[in-house]
Amino acid sequence: MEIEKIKFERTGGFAGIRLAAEIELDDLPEDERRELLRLLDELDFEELPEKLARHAPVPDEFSYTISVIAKDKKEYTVSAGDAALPADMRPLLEMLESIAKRQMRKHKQDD
Amino acid sequence: MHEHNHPMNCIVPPHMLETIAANGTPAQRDMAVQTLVASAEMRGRRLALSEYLAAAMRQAAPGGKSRLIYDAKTGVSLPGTLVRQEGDAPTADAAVNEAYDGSGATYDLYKEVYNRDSIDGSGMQLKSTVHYRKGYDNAFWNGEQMVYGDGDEDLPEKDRLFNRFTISIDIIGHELTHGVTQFEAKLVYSYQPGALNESMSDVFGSLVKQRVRNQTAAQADWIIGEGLFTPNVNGVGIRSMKAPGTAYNDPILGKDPQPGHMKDYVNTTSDNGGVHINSGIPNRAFYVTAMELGGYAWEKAGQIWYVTLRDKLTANSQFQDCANLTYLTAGELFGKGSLEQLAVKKGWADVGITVDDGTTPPPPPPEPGGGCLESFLRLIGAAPAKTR
Repeated sequence: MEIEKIKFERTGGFAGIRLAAEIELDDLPEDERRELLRLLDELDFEELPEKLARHAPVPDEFSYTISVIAKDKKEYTVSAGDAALPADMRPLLEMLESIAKRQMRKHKQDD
Repeated sequence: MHEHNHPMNCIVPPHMLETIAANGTPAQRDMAVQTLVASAEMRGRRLALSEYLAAAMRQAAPGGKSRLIYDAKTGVSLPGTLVRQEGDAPTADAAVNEAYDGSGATYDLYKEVYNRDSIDGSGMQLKSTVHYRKGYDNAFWNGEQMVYGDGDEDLPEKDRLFNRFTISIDIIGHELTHGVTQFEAKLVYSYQPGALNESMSDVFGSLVKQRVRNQTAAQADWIIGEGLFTPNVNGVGIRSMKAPGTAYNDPILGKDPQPGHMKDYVNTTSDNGGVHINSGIPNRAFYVTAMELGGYAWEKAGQIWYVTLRDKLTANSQFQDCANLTYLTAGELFGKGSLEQLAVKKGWADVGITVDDGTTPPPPPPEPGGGCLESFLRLIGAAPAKTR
């Protein structure tokens, strides 16, 4: 699959403040892009079920939704709650989270 | 209990079963262990049976204040390494000491004011883990313990938005109260019951802070999460119970989305149906009630809300139910037509909810409760039928 962009959203948490980003792969630094693709590949992202770790909501946990959009416009979406997140998902989430935080701060500087 | 001595087939969160396995009566423990084992087999999880048996054998603390503070050392394993326990001297780590002092102050509020012995009412140990993950902007209650992140400590100072989550004592009271709600009203964590669940955590979190500071309702700031934002953020805290929607307004984080009136109720599927958003409405109802009554908010307003949480609210209670039930409780505690009861009525009226003052009976609780989990808990006797 050729990936065009990734949509990332984190909601909930004690503060209830949404963190979201649309990440165009071509805009990322080369090493980051490569690492992201490697993590998605390792997880077999397009084969993952749409909802991971179904469980009753945990008070104040984060909820994540990740959508991978292919160049052919096919979309693969996975959502998961933080507390029961499979360990192998963490590196991907942490990377997306940090890119999203960076973008959020950069948008402010651009204003 | 013998006829019920089989595992349940419905989905009960494993963390809750583990809590029951650790803290329940012998019959409850048996049930929980069997269910855990069965579901572990079903899911093909490689779970050590001995782990659950050990949990089942573990006895609850014999009562009284018992705090355990763990350090996750930026990892994800819970609870982590034990670094301070009840009676130990302070350590050099501010987060450890804040978790210890904050959970102590929360225990004291519940014990000394409401005569409740810990989260479960029977001396459950208060476990907290600090330094959870890296750059973790959150705190949560996982069904068994509190978990706190360090905020943006991994970023350069100029980019940091959040400080460590133990910094504000009401956050600690907030998380522990999620535990109390889990053992009492069991409010479902979505839409209005979820917003009530959140509001109860803010109410008692704020009361912990007000009591530690010896502030009357009029002296208190009614801010939740004061000090959590770094100076880079334009905001005084995460939520304002007094004026929902005004806690922050920042170019990066946006504006505090909380409504303080039913006319501004936010319909959304995000955040479990807006549990951290619409909680502004019952939060303000509590604030107005407390201001009407004057003095220390934990004494009368807090008592009314606590008894309502413990004895009246059920898993699917809505805002209107909470209004009716706090009003009913105020009447039981202080007398029909008392100033206290009128204050409750005024509190809810201020946010656009008219209490049903008894001319028609309040709607019966959903039977037999909030579905599968509720039925399970009733079955094992962890959720006694509510009396009205």
